[in-house]
Amino acid sequence: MTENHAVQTVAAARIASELHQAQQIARQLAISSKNARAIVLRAGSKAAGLAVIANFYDELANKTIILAQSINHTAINISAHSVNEWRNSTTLDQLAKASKLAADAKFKGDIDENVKRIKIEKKNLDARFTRLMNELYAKLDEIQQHMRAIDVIAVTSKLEAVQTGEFRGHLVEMADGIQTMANRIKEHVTHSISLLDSAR
Amino acid sequence: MQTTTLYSEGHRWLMFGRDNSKPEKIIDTNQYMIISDKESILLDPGGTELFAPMLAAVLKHVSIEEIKYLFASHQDPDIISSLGLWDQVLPKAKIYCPWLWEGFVRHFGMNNIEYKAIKDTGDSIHVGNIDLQLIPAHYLHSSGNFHVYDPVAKIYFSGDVGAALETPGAPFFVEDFNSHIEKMQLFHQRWMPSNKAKNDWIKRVRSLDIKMLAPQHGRIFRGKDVQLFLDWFESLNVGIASNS
Ligand SMILES: [Fe+2]
Ligand SMILES: [Fe+2]
Repeated sequence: MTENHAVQTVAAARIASELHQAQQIARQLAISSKNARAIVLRAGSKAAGLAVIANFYDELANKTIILAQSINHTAINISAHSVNEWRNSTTLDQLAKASKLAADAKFKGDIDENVKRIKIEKKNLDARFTRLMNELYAKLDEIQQHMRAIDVIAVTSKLEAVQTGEFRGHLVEMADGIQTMANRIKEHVTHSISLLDSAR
Repeated sequence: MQTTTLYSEGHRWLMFGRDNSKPEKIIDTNQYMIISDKESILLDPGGTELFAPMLAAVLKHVSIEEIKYLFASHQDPDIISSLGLWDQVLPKAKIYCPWLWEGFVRHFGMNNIEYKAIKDTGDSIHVGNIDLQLIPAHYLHSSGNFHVYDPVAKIYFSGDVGAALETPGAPFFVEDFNSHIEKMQLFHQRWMPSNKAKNDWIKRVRSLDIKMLAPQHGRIFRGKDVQLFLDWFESLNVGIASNS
């Protein structure tokens, strides 16, 4: 169990750093979405359909920032939690050793009582740990969905951009940029999920 | 873990050390326990590596509830890195430790045990029916450092002062002072930083009636060896390391 805690502690810390990077990209995404909106505004009636899309971008980018922040928080929580579990199981290991050495000790029973108590604590910690891990999976999954949505919007906006005349080039470039950023975020999240899987 | 009884007239002094399971490269340490009535105190309980054998040894004499106090002479890992583990099994205990080290010693992990900060001028601890005096020994070697004196048993726990670097399984007591010197010399010259602090301490300790001087490493000095040690230490030049 001890090596496992070490792996989980490190994995959670690495996820926190992955998500920190994803958050930076999401910030750029939010800026790009504002630029897209400005262009759409200048394109006027020719880009009426794009206005809705630009709002979507904005919304998703902001949601992603908040979500990434919250994942970061959960990951750090998990990391701290693993350290607690780690300490807990170290104590249990040491008590097992002491119990063997104390075979003939008058108060050996005191060790067993402590083992019992710490095992209950450990169970509670384990349960909380599972909850946190599930929470982390769910949030990572939600980010992936946002990124897929952003991808779909990017494709749609490239199609819509055909009708915007001289703004077309700008909008396509913008949509490409947004797609690239969304993909980069997706990579960080996919990597996070595989880190999480391997630490389980 | 081997155990020897140093005093047993009303209250008891036990010494633990020379543990066979100790990993080779960690320095051998002496741990002490004083038991009076239904209370006991562990002096310099030791490093993480020694926790399991110490707990097992201690429970041969007292129940876990009877261990009310820990004392850490200073912040070193061989003194108190086991704190995070004791903290889990002695949630109601108090640790007496120099005020100077509180923020540092807490790094070993302390969620339950209460920190009793010893002020620079010293303090006393009431354990069962006895009073133990906490004698200042700053810069010997740590900048915030205390020893424990029991005026009834006349035992003086001297932390790293009087320490000797021994081969495994060395006896508990000094038998021949002169041949013991070579095992102490470098330790005191290199680990102790200040002649001034040393001489100041010697002056203070000479006024106490000491039958046993019990260090955290090496062997215990008895009877006339206590004075021989103080004389030897007084004449020793310490703080010898140079930067070039
Ligand atoms: Fe030390
Ligand atoms: Fe030491």
